[in-house]
Amino acid sequence: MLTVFLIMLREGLEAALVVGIVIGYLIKVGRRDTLRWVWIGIVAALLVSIGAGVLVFLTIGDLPSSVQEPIEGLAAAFAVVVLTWMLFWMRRQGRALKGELEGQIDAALQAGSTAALVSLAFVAIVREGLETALFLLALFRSAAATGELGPGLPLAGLAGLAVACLLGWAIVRGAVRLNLRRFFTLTGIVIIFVAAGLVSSAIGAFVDAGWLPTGNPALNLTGLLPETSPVGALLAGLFGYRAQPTTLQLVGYFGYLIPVLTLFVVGARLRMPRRTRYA
Amino acid sequence: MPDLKRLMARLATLGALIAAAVLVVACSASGAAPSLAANGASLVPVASVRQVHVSISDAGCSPQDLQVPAGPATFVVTNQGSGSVLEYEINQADHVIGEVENVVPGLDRTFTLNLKPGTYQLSCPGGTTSASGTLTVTE
Repeated sequence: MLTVFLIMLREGLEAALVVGIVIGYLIKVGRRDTLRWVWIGIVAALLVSIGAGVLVFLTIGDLPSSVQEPIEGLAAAFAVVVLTWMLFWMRRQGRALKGELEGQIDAALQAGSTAALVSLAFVAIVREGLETALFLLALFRSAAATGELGPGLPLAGLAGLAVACLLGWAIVRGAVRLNLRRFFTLTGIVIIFVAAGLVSSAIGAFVDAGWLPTGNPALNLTGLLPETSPVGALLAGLFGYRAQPTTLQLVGYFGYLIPVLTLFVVGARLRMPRRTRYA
Repeated sequence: MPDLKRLMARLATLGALIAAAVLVVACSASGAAPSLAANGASLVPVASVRQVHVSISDAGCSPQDLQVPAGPATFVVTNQGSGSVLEYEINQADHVIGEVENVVPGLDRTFTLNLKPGTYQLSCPGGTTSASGTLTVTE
């Protein structure tokens, strides 16, 4: 039961985190008017996930990994691109920021930017949404078919999703309270780790799709921190933690993380002196 | 902050809607579960597809070495372990050709492959002693 809870927490968390950041960001830059579109994106993603999940469940029962994994991989790759773009957009905004007057931020979100953020929310949910819907449906069916299990498993799954949503909401709430500069810095660093995790997830999905060769695990951290443990599941959901990453996944993870994080931190440092001079 | 309250209310509504939708579908499907695959809606007629029952244990793939005749086969994967291993994969020359994830104890998950004669690798990541195995497909 704990396993089911943790799987759903993990699957839901990544989406909740990304959507939470997008919403927090739009509130922060004073574009609450665009939130309506984000919500439309969220609802559309849920409808697509549930609708397609139900359709697949009632017809072929389970989605072949040759369909599921490319969707997951491509969605992860798309999310990496938009998150990276968002990161550098935020840095530009941060640079344009004189002092800490939030009112001075030019929230000139282009139509294209809004569309990108809305599709990011959509993709973040659809990515795991279909698999999640199928998993939950299978749990309900097996609970109903074999009386011994009872409703415990599906309820544990729903509870996992609920906790993930709650955490996403907490992120929005926390983000709104931060001042703008701190919001950019903190969210930026979180985004970098999330995106690095998504790079590794995308590689994993492409391997499962048969598009990339399987590699032997470069590390085995199962003994230290299994993915199925609560902390492992949380880290997997937030930052793409894998107990047995392949060499390719590690290269992808750090190949993204190190340069982007360096650029981000160095960029932040370089701006500091100018800001203190004006202060 | 009214916006957060509204956001929360929307989240709650969404959650309730999803739960209701999932419940409705699962209940309507569960009654028909045994005949689900045979009701003509499946892409491959079940009668002609060989079912191969395998399981995952905490040790890994069970059985570790599997022999199956060539042709379409549906792998029905169950988990006899505690849940430390959740994935069953079939690889050919370092490429995954079929797999199921999140096979929690108590849940059957299936995948179908059209197998050609040859030797394949089984993989149950996280298993202690039989995390990998061999699938031999005979003529």
